[in-house]
Amino acid sequence: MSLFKREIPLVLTFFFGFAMIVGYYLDVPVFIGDGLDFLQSTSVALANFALPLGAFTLMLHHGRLVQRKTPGKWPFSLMFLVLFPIISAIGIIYGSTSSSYSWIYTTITSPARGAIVALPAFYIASAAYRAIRVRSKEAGVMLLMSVLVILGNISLGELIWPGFTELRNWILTVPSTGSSRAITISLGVGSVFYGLRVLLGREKIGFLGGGE
Amino acid sequence: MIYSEGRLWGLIVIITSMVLTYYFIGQAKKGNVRQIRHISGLDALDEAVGRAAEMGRPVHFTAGAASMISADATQMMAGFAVLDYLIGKTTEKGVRIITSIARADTLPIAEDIVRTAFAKSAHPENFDEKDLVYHGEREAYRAGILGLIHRENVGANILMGSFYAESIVFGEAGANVGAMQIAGTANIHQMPFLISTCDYCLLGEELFAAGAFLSGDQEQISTISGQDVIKVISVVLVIVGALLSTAGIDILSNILGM
Repeated sequence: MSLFKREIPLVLTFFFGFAMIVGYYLDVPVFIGDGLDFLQSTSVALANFALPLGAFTLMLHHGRLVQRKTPGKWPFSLMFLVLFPIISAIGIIYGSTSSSYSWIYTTITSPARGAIVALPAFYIASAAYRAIRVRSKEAGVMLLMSVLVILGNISLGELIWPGFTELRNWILTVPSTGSSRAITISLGVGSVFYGLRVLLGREKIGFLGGGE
Repeated sequence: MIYSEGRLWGLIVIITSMVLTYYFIGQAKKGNVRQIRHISGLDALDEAVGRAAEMGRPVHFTAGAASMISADATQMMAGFAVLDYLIGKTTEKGVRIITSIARADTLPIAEDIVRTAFAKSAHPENFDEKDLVYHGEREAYRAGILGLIHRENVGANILMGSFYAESIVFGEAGANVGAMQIAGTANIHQMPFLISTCDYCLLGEELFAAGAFLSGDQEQISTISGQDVIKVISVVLVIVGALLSTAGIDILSNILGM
């Protein structure tokens, strides 16, 4: 079991992982480059194999919830069991650009998605209040910077003092960009070493599951 | 030219990183174990589980919404190492842990990690497949976890992986129910939201170091010392580059652009 679960996947990961590194950094002959492009597109195709499996598992899962009449869940599962095959059939038969499929999308899917997408607007307001409470010197600096950036963004700020816009631009392009680049560098270095640990099989938990 | 134009220094960094990885693993094998600083967010995981146990509330974990074939999959994998550790701790303390998954291609891997972690834990019989929740992508994931956090009244909310616009929703939902929250992501645009809503947030490469740090495996931990060498070189290059650019000399940027 370990051979199929660990050794063979690790050898394949090592081989293909380093092949991709070589293809990206070295000036390889065209046929090798084409082979690596093929590998990349194959990975997308392989991942799509999970879709029919996922659809089947979902039907089974919701079927069980309806069968057991699980409180608070079965009406939604029933809705799923009815709507999923209908919408899929319309999409497969008439195509995803057809008027019937577009009607479902614009009248049902889109408003429902819009409602969820709008949620962060309210949460950002309460998170901003949580973030700018002055509990330490650092939070005080953050509050000051936030106020300056807000004043630089709104027309009232420019009325109070025209320099707010320039100050806002300086805050965003110098201290803010500088600190985010420091994080970017550390992220880059960290991900390179993490990738190497994965390729060498040193990360025990990850894409191979939970290990031995 | 044997290297692709503009990628020479990337290649040099990769080769140097490989050499350093092997060197520090070799050193660890000889018993020269490097000490790395403690990461407060990871140290706080035990506290979060303990608090959830005291309150009699479950722990919630999610590793983000990345796909297995995206570049962000590494963040999710790093997050799963935290999940493995958390399951060990929660079973030890008799706390229920709920794991939320967003993508179909991630589900089998997450299931294997959860099953294996329970199997090697103190109470493997506590594994309940209903606590591994598949929400679906985007809005379904966002709405699903939002509801779950409130319905289950989670005592600890652990967010480790690749997050997008949902980070603020999860963070605020957790804060609203009074959960202790620990987050970690490599998505810079989401860090401010997680920092402002969570008690602890892993910054920069700390998420990628989590697996090595929590495993306690000295060979893995030693490789993190290699990262520090590259970071020191980067800092020196940044300072020298800034001074040279200010003086109007762009030799360093020309060399690094090769």
